[in-house]
Amino acid sequence: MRKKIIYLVEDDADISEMIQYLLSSMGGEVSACLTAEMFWKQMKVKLPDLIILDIMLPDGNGADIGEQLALDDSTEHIPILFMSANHSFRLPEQLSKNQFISKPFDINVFSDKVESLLVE
Amino acid sequence: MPVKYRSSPQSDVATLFHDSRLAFYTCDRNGYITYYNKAAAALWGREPVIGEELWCGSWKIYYPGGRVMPLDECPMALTLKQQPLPADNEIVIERPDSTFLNLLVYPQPLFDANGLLTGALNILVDITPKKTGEEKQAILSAIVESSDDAIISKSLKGIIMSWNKGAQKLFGYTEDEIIGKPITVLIPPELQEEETVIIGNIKAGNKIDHFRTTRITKWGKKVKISLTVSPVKDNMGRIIGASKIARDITEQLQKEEAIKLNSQRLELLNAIGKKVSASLDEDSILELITTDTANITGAAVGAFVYNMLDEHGQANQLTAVFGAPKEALENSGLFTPEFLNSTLIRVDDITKDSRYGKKAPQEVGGNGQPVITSYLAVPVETVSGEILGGLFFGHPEPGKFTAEHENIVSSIASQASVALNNCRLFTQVKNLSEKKDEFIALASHELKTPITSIKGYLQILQRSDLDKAGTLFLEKSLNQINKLNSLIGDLLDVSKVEAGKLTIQYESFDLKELVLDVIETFHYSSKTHKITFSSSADQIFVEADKQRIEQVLINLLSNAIKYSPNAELVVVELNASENEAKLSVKDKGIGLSEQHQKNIFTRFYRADGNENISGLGLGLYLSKEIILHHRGTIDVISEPGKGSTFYFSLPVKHQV
Repeated sequence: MRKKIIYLVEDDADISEMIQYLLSSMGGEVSACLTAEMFWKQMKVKLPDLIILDIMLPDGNGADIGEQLALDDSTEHIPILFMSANHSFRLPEQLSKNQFISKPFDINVFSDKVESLLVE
Repeated sequence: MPVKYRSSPQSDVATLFHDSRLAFYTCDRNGYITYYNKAAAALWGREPVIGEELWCGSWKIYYPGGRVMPLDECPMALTLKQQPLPADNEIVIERPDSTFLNLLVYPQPLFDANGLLTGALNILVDITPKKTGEEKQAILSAIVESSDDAIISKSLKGIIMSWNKGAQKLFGYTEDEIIGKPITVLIPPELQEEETVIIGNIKAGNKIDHFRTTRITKWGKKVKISLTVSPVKDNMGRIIGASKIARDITEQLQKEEAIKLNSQRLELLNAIGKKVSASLDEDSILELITTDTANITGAAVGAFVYNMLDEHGQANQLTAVFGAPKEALENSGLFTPEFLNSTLIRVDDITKDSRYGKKAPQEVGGNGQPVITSYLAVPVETVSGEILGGLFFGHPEPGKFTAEHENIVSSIASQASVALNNCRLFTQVKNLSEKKDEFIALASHELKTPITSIKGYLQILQRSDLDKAGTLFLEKSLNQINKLNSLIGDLLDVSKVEAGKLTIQYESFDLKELVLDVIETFHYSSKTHKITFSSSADQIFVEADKQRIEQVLINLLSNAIKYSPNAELVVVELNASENEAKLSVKDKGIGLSEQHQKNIFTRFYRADGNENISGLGLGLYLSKEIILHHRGTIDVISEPGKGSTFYFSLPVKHQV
């Protein structure tokens, strides 16, 4: 089975590094983006199997990016795991097939969510 | 009562003397009373003992001035001692019942055939009633003379018969000038008819009480008076004239008028004050004050220019106008606070005023619009003297604004200043509070970022091969990280509750499942306590915010463990009735006193004596807020030393 491609959009370098380690150890191929701009560039190169998206980004909002992806037929199917330090964040209706995890998180719960999204 | 009189001549003459209305008595040569008749005993008010009492039968005697008269100096004593009597033969006696009588006494010595003194006869004449009448008359005259009121008497034909000093003071005429003149000289020409009415009433025997009218003085000045006129009757009861009491009520009327004006002004200010202080919105305060004040002063145009500070401290001018467009008033140049320079300005005709004449005529809005002639400008200052702005009023006619208006507008201006100051403070507090909430939101987000990577790395580390100590230390570190995280979460939540921004995101879920999940996580993290669970139902669906209810459950379970350090068991029960789901968490811990039970759900409250147990005192406060937001209830039953049971209820969702 080929390695799953995972795009990680997270502006905090330390969190990003920690998650990259975690995903790599799970056997994923991770591309980390610190900004929304970098993410969209990356999307033009190749489409991933999973996107892990922080809500609060320096140049955008993760929820807006998610909605844009949902509106595009070519990206609509890609599962997304949203992350935010705002634990009362709720996914909007049209993104409800995706998952959300609040920061800080238990890496076991995180891993479970990633795996469940990749299986789907 | 039989009286024993030692009356030697038992004859008709003796009886005549004895019953006589002329009071008299006799003494012997040595002064012992030898006889007195009934009339004398009646005057004395007592019956002296014959042959034993000396000089006089009176109980006490005084000189007319009130000085005590010794008994042996009474006229009878002097007569018998053959000493000269005082010219005044009046004495005052006091009777045993404490009444006083004025007596004239006529003592006469009695001699025998040889010319030897044998005794004396004294005749007593009671003059008390006469004295009282005279005193009354004297007192009345003195009252009339010293009265500040004018007291006049007149004949039925209206001729002035008497005139006191008060009348002279009020009307100016002396007694000599006015006696014999007709009363009508005091009545203004237009009120001459009044006299006819007054005389008519007097002739009919009617009294006129406190009749308010106007009279005229010697110098032609009109005075406001209150008049009381009563008929005067002669001894036969015939009406022969009238007495008039006139009181100058000019001052009284002025006071009444002032009180009326004052109370109107107070009512007005009160009404405006109520309206203004009920608002914390600057625009509506300015508009209210401008309109109300313009109406009170009768101004045609008005404006309230207010130097407001925006949230960045920048000056910003707000204007409320009345009666004319804003631009027109601004163009007139008369409606700027710089113009005021902290003094009040009231001008009857601004077009003729040299200071502002250059700008005349003050056209407001071009053709057909009023020109400002009357002008009133009042600064609105803070207590510290800072000019917040000004109230400006204008009217096309000259002299429209009075000193009274000036007073009212000044009072309104100070109310406005207070109200606007409150607005400023309110806005400042609101801004500060918003900033605080923004700060807490930002701070908690920023704090969570390092916690996220710390927790992640610690957990990754946990997966590697560690010795026993390493495993233990990691576990402890993770516990502390979780605690830190929940403290940050609580702080953020409290700030949301304070700001009224705690949002509840309803979803339908099985409460039993959630409770079991939460207890499960405690089994991992708490090695010290065992949590048992029982429930009467298979499923209990509620419509609630799952994350928030989870937060409450975690809080109650953490507390149960935290506050029962020496116990091992926490009992959780979940039951449902028709309308509500009720969950209880029971521990066998330290418990709470009644006082603590009352306060345990308030912010920052912590049961004292537990300083060794960490926490901010926010958990139960937030739990309460969350449950109340769900329209549920939360409470505690506890006994110190035995443990506590916290319980909450939520409305159940009926499955359709």
